[in-house]
Amino acid sequence: MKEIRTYGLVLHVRSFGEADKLVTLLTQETGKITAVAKGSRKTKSKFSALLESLTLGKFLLLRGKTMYTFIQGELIKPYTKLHFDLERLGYAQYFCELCERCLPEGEPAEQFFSLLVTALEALEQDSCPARVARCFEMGFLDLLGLRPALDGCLLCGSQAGPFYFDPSQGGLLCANCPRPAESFPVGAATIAIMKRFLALGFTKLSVCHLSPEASEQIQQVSTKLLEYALGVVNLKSLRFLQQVNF
Amino acid sequence: MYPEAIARLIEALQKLPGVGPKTAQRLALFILSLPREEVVKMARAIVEAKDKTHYCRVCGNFSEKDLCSICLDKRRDAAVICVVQDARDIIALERMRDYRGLYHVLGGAISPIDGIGPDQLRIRELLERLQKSKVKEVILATNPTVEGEATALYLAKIIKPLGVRVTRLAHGLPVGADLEYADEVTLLRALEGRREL
Ligand SMILES: [Zn+2]
Ligand SMILES: [Zn+2]
Repeated sequence: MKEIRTYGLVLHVRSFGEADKLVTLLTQETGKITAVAKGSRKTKSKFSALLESLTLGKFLLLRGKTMYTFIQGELIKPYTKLHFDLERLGYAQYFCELCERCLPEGEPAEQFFSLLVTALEALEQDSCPARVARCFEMGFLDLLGLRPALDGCLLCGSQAGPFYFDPSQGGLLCANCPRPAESFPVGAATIAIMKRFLALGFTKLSVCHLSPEASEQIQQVSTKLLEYALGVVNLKSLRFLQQVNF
Repeated sequence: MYPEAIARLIEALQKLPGVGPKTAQRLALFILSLPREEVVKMARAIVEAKDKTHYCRVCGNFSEKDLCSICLDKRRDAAVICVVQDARDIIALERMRDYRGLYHVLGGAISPIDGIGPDQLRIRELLERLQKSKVKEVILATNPTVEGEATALYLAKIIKPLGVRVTRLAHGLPVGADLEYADEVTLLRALEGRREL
């Protein structure tokens, strides 16, 4: 048994047994881990607020054979602004679900941790949650090693549009080159915004105008890349966002 | 002999009226030949049917009959509905014996990461109840969790325009605890839920 102390963000909370919680965390030290928190659903539990979805905290955990056990912790930031608005809540949990589904258990992921925290901060401040989400997607793909290739056609090098995105090769194809069935059109404006997100991240995000069309195309690039490269499909929070019309 | 999992399925099917070992075997092999989604759909339909017959048609409370004992009780105040996440919450609230209104069970709380949105909860049924009967107040008693709060806020937003008073179960400081030990989320909610003395 080994104790670890780490900053972490609560990605997902599930009820477990009578009064326990099963908490998936993205930690600064050891990446994504799952910990059981005994008795934390009882109203008298001292740590019930810390062990809530979208909470940044400092955690003391005990590493067992198959799972971690939560011992104690300290609340750093609860991101309460994200609780009060279904759209922001949906996007925030979308980021969490991406981390939960795409990152391997127990492998250091410090950059992912920073990206997630930065994105949640931005989501609290920004007037356009979709813009934050698209920027997060680009940063996330980049860290996964799936940075989309956006400098001209992958086959002939042509710089002239219209372009199509091919998720199996992770880049653009021009109208004159053969295109696989899974490729789809991406506009020049969409490509420019993706490049900007990849270059600048969340800096000066508020001056970046994102049309609904570009937003949809960027999301498609991300969803399809994750599907082709990692086999990650059917993200529940994305379905939620569609259901509530965001 | 069949592998254990198939043998178990055959055994389960034999519990159906008029199904002997041979028929059970035939049904089991037929089920195995179906696409997985079909099988899941079938299994789910059985479980759902079973579950649903155990809940009150109006409020979703545990019930052996069509309507639960609370909905049938004429002495209860039909102008107040207390909305809870789970039928088990009704049992907890009934223990205090002070509440005389009716209930409505949502069957969960909004949770994007679990794919639970308004459509997956008994919200439409609640709105129908509000339109049909003369409800004056809805008390939102969802859990004080991120999901429970999001659900309460969503419900308040869609119920208020109907001209029904919406209140939230006050929560904050646990009874018997010192203020200085409370975390900031608990304090924030306690402050928001403060009342005139
Ligand atoms: Zn080309
Ligand atoms: Zn009832």
